[in-house]
Amino acid sequence: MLDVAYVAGFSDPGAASQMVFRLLLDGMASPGSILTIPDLGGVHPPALDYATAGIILAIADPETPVWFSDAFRTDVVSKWLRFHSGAPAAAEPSEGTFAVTRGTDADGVLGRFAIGDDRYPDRSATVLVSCASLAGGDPVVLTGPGIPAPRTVAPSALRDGFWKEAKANHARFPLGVDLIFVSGASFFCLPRSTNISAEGAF
Amino acid sequence: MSIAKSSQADRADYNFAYLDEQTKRMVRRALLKAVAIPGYQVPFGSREMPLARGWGTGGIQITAALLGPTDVLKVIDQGADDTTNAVSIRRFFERVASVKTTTATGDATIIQTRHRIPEQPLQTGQIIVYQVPQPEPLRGLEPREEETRKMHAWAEYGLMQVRLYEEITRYGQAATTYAYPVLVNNRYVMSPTPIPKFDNPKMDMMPALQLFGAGREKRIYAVPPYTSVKSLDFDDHPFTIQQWEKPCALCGSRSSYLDEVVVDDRGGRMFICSDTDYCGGNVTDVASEEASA
Repeated sequence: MLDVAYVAGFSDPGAASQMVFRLLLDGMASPGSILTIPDLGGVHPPALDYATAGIILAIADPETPVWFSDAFRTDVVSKWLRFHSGAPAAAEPSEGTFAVTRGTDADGVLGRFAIGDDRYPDRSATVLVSCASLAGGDPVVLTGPGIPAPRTVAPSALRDGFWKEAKANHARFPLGVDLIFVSGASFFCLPRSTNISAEGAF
Repeated sequence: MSIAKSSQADRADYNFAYLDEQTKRMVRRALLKAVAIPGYQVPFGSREMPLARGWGTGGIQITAALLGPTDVLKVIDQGADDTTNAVSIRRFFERVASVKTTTATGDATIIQTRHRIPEQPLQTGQIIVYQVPQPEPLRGLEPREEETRKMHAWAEYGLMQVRLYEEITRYGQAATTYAYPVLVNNRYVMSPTPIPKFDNPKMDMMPALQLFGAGREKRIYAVPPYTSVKSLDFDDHPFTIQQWEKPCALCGSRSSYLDEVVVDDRGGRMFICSDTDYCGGNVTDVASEEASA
């Protein structure tokens, strides 16, 4: 079997990183808008979503520890991470600049990640939440910066109480983590500045 | 022919858009956090650039981190596309990134600016990059970074209100005419950079993404699209913008920001639009109307 850790990442790393970054920037500036990363070549660990792998390759490097939930923390994934991005694997959730977890993982509870401190709220984690699909779950309504009219998202599947955690995260603004929901090659962002509401979901 | 050759040779010496990929990633991470915390100043590892600090190095580093081969770049300095700073930055990116450049506000995907917002409203999908000399709006009131950080952390902005109050009691109105402080997303007080306060209302709920780079001070901050940006004021002294008695002497616009230009050595002067693309467009419209009439 092909050892994915040692095959090509992006076929043109500079151009591909720029493209993924601009999609991410659009996503952070427009919370809840679903974006799709085009095929940029390379092979990624089958356990990771294509969007997760692309985002990590684009913006992680030796300065940014990446934490994986138990579901993702395999030999293949850590070798792939180290070989392509040079990013160290974080042992504790609170040490990760980036964190990768499934929406259902109990060890990926949002309260475990770095939320920054009141003078430096930017020293906080960006959490990639892998979902079965970006649609079909319980709908929540988003308002706030970047959102001209209330926007509905419904990623599935998420653990019970996930939206409660996300709401608590927003309530701490300007502290908090920034979320990126991924499924396959698609993703949408939910920065800490976004207000979340839903009827009966909490 | 020889010029084209030498510019290609120059390019081969640099990474795309000048900065190395590691630096771009660092700037990009700072930008993402800046967008997630509107109005908060994110520290970043500002690099030496091939022009002096204070000449737009913060804006250039952001633009370099953003640029892709399909972008169309516009650069303005005080509204003008044809001034030294604008011309040299535009040429820099033509050389090191081979991107298309334009002077038309509507055609640009990225607009790097020093001290103005174009008159033509910006659209969704466009990005405006401001060059920032002093990112800290409280610096004139409190020189210690340690203290201003705390003031932002606790949203302790009384001092700024006192400054405006003192201006009003002394001069009858807020005397600040540029870099007029704003409150972003109801949380952070932010410097809009030395744009005239005339431009402040354009920042509020702007459909375009606004990014700010201070190279010397090593700070990046941002205002996402559709975000509230309120100029600080008092209920009984609401914020107002500059007005002129006469229209632009070139295009006749009554709604744009005008620069005073001395035209002779006998005190003669005229007022013209500071936004050259906007003014030029109006003049062309008038000329074509007259031709068709």
